[in-house]
Amino acid sequence: MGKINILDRIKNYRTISIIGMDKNVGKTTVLNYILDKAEDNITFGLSSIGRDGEEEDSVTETKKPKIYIKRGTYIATSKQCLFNGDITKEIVETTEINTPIGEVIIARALSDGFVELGGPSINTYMKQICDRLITFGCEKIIVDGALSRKTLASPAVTEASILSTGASLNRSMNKVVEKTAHAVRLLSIAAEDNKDVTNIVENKLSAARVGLVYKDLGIRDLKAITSLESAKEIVNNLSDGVSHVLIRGVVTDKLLEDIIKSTDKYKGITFLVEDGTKLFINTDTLYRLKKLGGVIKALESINLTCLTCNPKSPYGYEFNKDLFLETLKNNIDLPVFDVLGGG
Amino acid sequence: MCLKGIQEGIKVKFLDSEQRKQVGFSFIIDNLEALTAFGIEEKKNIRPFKSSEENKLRNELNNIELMLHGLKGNKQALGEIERVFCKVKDVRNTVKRCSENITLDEVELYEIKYFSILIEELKEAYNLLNIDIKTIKFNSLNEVMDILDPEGKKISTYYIYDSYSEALKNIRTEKRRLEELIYKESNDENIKLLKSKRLNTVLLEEAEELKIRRQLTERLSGYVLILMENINSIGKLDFLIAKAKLTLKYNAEKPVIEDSMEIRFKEMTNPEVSEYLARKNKIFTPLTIELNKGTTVITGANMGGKSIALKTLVLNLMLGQCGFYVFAKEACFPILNFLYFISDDMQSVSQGLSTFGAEIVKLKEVINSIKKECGFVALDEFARGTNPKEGYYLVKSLCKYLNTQTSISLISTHYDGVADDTMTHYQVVGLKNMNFNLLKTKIDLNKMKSVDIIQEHMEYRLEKTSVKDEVPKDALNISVLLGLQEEVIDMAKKYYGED
Repeated sequence: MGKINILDRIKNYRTISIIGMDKNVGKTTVLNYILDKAEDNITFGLSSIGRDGEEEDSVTETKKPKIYIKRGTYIATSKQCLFNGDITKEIVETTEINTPIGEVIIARALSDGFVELGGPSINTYMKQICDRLITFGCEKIIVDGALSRKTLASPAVTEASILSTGASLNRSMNKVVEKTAHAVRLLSIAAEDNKDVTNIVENKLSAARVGLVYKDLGIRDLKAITSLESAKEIVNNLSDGVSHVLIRGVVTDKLLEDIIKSTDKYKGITFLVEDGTKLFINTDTLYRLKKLGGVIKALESINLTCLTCNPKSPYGYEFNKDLFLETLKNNIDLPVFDVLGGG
Repeated sequence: MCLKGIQEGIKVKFLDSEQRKQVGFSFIIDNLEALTAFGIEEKKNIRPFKSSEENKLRNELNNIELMLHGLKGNKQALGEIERVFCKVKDVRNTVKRCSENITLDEVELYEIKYFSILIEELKEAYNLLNIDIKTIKFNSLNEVMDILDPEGKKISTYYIYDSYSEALKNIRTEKRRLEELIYKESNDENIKLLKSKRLNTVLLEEAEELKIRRQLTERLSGYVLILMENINSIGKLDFLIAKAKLTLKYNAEKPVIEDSMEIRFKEMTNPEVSEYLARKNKIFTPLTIELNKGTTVITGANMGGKSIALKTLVLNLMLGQCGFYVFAKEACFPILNFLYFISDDMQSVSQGLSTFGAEIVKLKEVINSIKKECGFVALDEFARGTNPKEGYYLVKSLCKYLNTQTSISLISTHYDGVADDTMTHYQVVGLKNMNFNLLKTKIDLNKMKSVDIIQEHMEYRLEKTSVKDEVPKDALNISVLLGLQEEVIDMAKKYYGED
C-alpha cells in the first residue's frame, strides 16, 4: 500500500477540526505533526474550541500542552493563553468574542515558538474566527476540539475533521476500539441522497425543529420548541404516509427510545438529523433502531478524513502499538495513523 | 445622593419604568440605534433636563437641528461615520489603566493604536458633515501614532517594534538564529539543547519588552485626556446621529422651550400607537391641544381615545424634557420640574392597594410637588374606581384646587360638569357629528364588526368646548350600537328623561 499520510488526507480542505475522543489522546501531537511536516510556504491559522469543562483544571495545575508554531502562523486565542506563549507576536485584531479566560485575540507569529490555544466555546463564534483567519490570508485553518464539543466537526463550522483516539480512553483496548468505532459510525452517518426530500426540508421546513415529510412530499411542522421533548408529538403524528422525520438539534437515546417504546410506525421511516455531530446515542439504541427497521440519515455529511491513535496513556499503562493500530484498522473504515509511533 | 438614587428620584418624578412603557417612551428609546459602546452609554443616561439647564436643553435641540442639516444629502458622510463606528471598540478600560500608569500589554497598546487610526478616519468623515457642534471635537492622535507606529507603517496591527531598542533587536536576532538551527536540526538531543538556549533569549526578550512597555505607557499617559475627549465625542456623535435618524424616521419636529407655563401641541402623534394602528390598516388621528397653568379637563365618549390623548401628550412632553424632537407639527412647553401621570394601571396596584387607594397615595405625592415647584400632571379618569357620587365630588374638588396652582394639570373624566368656565375644557368629538341612525343601520347589517365600525366612525379629534355645550350621550349611544338589550336601554332612556 502506498504510504498516505495525514497531510494528504487534509490537503483539499481549508478548515479542519481535530476532535479528541478524550483528553490526552494526542491531539496536540497530531497538530504539531501537521505543522512540522507541512510545506513551509503554507500559512496556517490555528484556534481551539472552548476548554471543555477543563476550566477547573486550567485554573489549578493541569497545563494545556503547548503547540510549536512557525513564524508567519496566525493564532486566534484568548488573551491569557496568548501571553502564556513565547512567540514574538504581532497583534492583528481583537475580536470582541469573550471567553472565561479573556477576549479572543488574533495574532501573527513573528518568530517560531510555543503557543497556547483557547478559543470560544460557541460554534458560530468559531465560524466567525475561521472566516477572519481566511481574510488574513490563512490557507489552512486547524481548530482544536474535543468529542464533548464534537459539534465543531459540523460542516457548518469546519470543512473536514480528524478524529483522535487513544489509550487514555479506557484500560481495555477493546473498549477503546469499540467506543471509537461507535463515534465514527455516528459522525459518518450518510447524507440523505433523495434531493426531493432535502430540497423540501430546506425550503419548507427551514424553521422547524421537528417536522414530518410525507411520501407525497407534503410536509408538517410539529411546532416543537426543542427536539429533546418531542417524542410524544412525533409518535402521535406518525402515519403510514410519513417517509421522513426531521429532527433539528440534538438527538438523544431517550428521544429514540421513547419513540421505539410507543409505536411501531417508525419502521421504514428515515430520521433526518442535521449532521452526525447531533447524535448522542449509544450503541444499543442505534442497533435496536436499525434492527427494527428505522433509518438515520443526515442533511449534511461530515468529512471525517482520518483517525489518529495514541497507544500511550498518561495513567501509566499503554497498549501494544502495532496491535492497537491493527485492531483499529480492522474495525473502522477510515485511514488510521499513529503519528508518534509511526504507521 | 448617589447616581442610582438620583436616577430613582427621576423615575418617580418623571414616570416610572412601567409608565414609560405605557406611554410609548420606551418604544422610542428602543428605536434609538447607538452603534458604539460610548453611544450606548449616552443612551443609558437619558434624563430630563433640569430647569436650571435651559441652555443645555436648547443646545441639545439645536445640535439635533444641526445634525439633521448635516445629514441632509450627505449619505456618504453618514455611511463613512457608521462604518468607522462599527469598528470602534470600547477602549475606556485600557485608557483608564493607562491613566493609572499600569503597564499596558501588547493587546492594549494595539487597542490604542487602532483607536487612534479610527479617530483620524472619523475626523475626516465628520468634517464632511460640515457642522460645528460644541460638544463634539475629534483631536488628532498623531503623536500617539508616532509612539505606536515608530516605523511609520500606517497599519493597524501592532507589536513591540525592534526599533524601540537596540537591545531588543539583538535579542530577537539571536532568538531567530536559534530557531533556524532548531528547524534544521534532526537530532533530538541537540534540539533539546537548542530549545533551552532559545528559552533564555525568550526570557531576555520578555524582560526587554516589559521595559519598553513601561516606557510606552508612561509616554501615552500624557495623552489620556485627549483620548477621553475623543471617546466622549464619539459617544455624543453616535447618540446625536441616532436621535437625528429617529427624528427623520418619525417626522419629529423641534419644540420651542418657553419660559411661561403653557403647553401647546399641534397635530401630535404617538409612533408606537401609530405603528400598531397601521398594522390594522388604521391611522392615528393627530391631536391638537393647548394647556395653560391650572386645570384642563378632557371629557368625551367611551372608546373615544381619551387615554391615548393623555399618553400621547405625556410621551411628547417627556421626550421634549429629555432633549428630543417631538412628534407634532408644532410644539412648545417649558422645562418641567416633574411630569406625573396617574392612571388606573399604575404599578402600586400590585402592592396591595386598590386602584383608588393607589391613586390617592400618588396624588398626595403630586400635590406635595405642586406646592413646591412647577410641573405637569395628567390624571386619566381619576377616581373611576370608587362610587360615582363621591368620585364626582373628589374630581370636582381636585380640578378646582389644581386650577389655583401654577403647574399644568390635565384631567380626563367621565363626570359631567366638573369643569367650570375658568378652566379649559376639551371634548373628544366622538360620535357627535355622526348620523346615528345611519350608523345603527350599518351595524345591524354587520353585527360581527360592530366594534370596528364604531371605531371607524369615531372622531378622535379634540375640540375646545364651553360649559354651556350639551354633554353628548355617547355612553347610551354606544350601548345601543353595540346591541345592548332593548329592555335595559329603554329603562336607561327613562332615567335620561327624568334628568
